[in-house]
Amino acid sequence: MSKTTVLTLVSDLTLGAASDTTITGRYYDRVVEDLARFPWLTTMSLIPVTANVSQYTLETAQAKIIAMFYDGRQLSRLTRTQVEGLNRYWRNEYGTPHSYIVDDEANKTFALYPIPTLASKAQSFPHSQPFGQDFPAYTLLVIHTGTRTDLPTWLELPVALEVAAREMERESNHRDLEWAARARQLAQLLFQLVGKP
Amino acid sequence: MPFVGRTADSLMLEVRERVRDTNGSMHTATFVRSILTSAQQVLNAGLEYVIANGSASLYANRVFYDISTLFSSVIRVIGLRGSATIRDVIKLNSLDDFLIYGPYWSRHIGQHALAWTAVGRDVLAVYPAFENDGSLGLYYVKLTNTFSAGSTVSEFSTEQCGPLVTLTEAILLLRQRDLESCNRALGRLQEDLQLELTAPKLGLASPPSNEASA
Repeated sequence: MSKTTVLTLVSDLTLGAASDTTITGRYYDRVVEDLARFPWLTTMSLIPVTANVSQYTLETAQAKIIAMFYDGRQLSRLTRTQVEGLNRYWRNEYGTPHSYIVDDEANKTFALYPIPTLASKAQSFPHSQPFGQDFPAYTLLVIHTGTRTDLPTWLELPVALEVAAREMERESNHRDLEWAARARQLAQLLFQLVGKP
Repeated sequence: MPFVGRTADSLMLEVRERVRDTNGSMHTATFVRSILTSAQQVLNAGLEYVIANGSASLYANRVFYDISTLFSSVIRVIGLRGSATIRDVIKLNSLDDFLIYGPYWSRHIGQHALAWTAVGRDVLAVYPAFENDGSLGLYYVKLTNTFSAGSTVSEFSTEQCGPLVTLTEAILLLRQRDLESCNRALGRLQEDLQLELTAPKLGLASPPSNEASA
């Protein structure tokens, strides 16, 4: 589903009142970012590891870590308190990582524990199977939510309603709080429906 | 019982009567069909009425798959079946449940799939990885088709079209700024969906009557 399709629908739903695509486009981007907080739209990424480096940062489009694997081993997620309980000197411990600690959720940084001593092998994929037989040794595989420009088609309607609601409650010459409240209610109902486990 | 859906024209007529726009002066046929299309798709994502199945190709030494690369019209995977064993593969609730096979479970290799889970809507994990390329039967909630013409038949059966009509009605009422009626339609929709959400789900053994094949 393209952003353009949704913005056209927003304009149609508001009978042209919300036709400024610069503004509605910005709201669309915010809604996509909000969706990344929920574990619905997920993807996988490989993160190469540098020897003796513990801290890594997710890329801008990667939002929330769901699971992480180092060289095929599923890593446990620990809080700082838990890891400090295990080892006060955890930041100086070297070995094969078995856990990760989310250092700073806002800045998307995390630390591996213990610190890996081996660097990832070359990220080359001769069989086009990075998650299969070409998986580079000593690499992190991260499953995460993320922001994306191509939201699935079935999300078109709730996203358009939410964008229209945000636009219509903004201070402007076409502001309509009652309309916005109904649009938001419809959007929330649909998000609730598709978000059930 | 054979599957009986409703045509876009019949759905549109009912919706237009409800919003008092029988001559289409407020909402064009193209617009109403586009809303019916989106409404059927989002409702199916939640209510899981339209199920399809097909054979998915799996690769050697691979546990994780991007579901959209297996089938383009998948909304949610609901079941896997071994191609050779013809047995349902056990569904686990989360990746952590695979730890019963040990922390290195994602490296294990085997002849047949034993367990699977979906991470969100897009990532599928199948345990263990196959030794050689193979395939599995995949059951999934599908993205319903577009109402491209008045004669296009819904993928929801006639008795499942209630929430589809009510959701489209609520959106058209919102569009024509009849907010009081929109509110009432929203209330009815909420009731419909709550009923649906608490209704027991049919298992793979007894799929809905309108099961489609991929």
